[in-house]
Amino acid sequence: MNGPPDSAELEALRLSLEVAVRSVGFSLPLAVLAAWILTRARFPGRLLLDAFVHLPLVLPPVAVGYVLLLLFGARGPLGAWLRTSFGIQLAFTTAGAALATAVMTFPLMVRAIRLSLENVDRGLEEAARTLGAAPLDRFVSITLPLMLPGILAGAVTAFAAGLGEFGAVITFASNVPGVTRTLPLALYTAMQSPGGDALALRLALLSFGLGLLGLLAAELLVRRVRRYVGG
Amino acid sequence: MLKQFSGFRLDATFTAPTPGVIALFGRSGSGKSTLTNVISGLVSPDVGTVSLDGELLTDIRRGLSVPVERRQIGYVFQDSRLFPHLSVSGNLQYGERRNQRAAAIVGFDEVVSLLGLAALLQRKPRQLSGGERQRVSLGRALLSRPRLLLLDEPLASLDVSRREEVLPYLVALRDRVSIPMVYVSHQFEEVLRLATHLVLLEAGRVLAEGPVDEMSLYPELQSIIGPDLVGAVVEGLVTRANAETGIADLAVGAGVLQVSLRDAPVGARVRLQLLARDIIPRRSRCRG
Repeated sequence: MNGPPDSAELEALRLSLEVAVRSVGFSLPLAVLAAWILTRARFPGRLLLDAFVHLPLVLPPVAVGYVLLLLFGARGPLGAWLRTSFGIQLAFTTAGAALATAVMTFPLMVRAIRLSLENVDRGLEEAARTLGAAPLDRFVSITLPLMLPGILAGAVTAFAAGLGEFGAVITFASNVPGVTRTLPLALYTAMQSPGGDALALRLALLSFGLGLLGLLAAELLVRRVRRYVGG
Repeated sequence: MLKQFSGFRLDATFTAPTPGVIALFGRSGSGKSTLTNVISGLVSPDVGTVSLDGELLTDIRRGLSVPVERRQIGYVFQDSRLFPHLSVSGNLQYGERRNQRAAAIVGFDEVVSLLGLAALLQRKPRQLSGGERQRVSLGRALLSRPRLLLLDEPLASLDVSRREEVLPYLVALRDRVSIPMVYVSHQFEEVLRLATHLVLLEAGRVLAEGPVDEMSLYPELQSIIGPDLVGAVVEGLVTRANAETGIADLAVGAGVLQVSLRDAPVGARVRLQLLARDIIPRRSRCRG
């Protein structure tokens, strides 16, 4: 975050990439866990958990950001605990923008991973059992590699979507230049400022190109991995 | 051992001599596969016990069930179930790596040569034919150092020529490796060529069991295999073989039979089925 001042576009781009990477890194293990629980575990309340995971898909992003602010804000129960115990502040920081993005893209990721898990042949896991593989061993050596195309697809889609998350980020992390002003926030700011039209257009084109690139990369990557796992 | 599904009840008790190949034979739906799944632990019975070499594996009354992964029972599935992301060699080593403490029955190289897998080792399962897949699956189960090998209709998904391609490997395996095997099939010909002991299942019950030659005369068998295949099974010793004519002398019970038989050396024991439809009984002596 130090160093020479960037142009507005580059700074927004760098921030968007950082937020998206951190959000994917943070939510990927949780998404695999959630997908596994939703697919394989049978317990009362599974339907409720399923709905809860998918909630960000149907809620207004501003509402998600507001809830995060209530929980993780300086006076929120989790925010206060994180601050006194670990000295971590999330609201109005880059990490906070990543958290808001992670929550918003979580359902996308879980859906892709879950789909791939549902396609894993249970017979292969049974075969691994008869060959002496205990549960965790089976998961790591059989289930996880076979889920890889879905995990990658989920991660890249969430990454691409995360580059453009707006509502939850601006509500929870605000619009601080160089800290939380990602591409869409910079675009919005440029549109609001007099004489910012040219900048707004450049930012919009940048977002467009980035999204297209992300989706194409996802498709190619998934194809390649699918060939590797022999699907 | 008792297993009930809705509308189906499996009630089977049998004790199998080891080593040897025990055939579970019966029509489809007679409970053969359920029985193998119960032995392997993949399916839990409602009542009953399963034991192997005197060790109790399942005892429902005592709430005992040894997890599948610790039973050391090899399983060759009908649909081979090779791991698609691993090469043939990776598949073969999967079980071997996880059972290092058990006594090795056969080594990696021996399995590869016994099953003719040398040229396939680097391939992925999707590059294999059905017969090759089953051979790899067989090798994978063998290398996991099992105390018992379950083969659930390993040839059923193959066409006739593929079946003929895999069957000799199974025979070679039986003669070279001293693992007891349970062979599930509804093809009597396979049973005849492989099994030493036959358990006849019908509608979830054991109808009869015994050595294959004794069982071959069992009347209930006729209704399952149909009249064309009914006949006594006798074992004979090759006493003279003529490689040129392909005619061999076979010493059976009371006399000597001349049969058309190639590639069986003098001293080999072969099994012969005398089909009932080929035999004409006579009261008087045959003249001329």
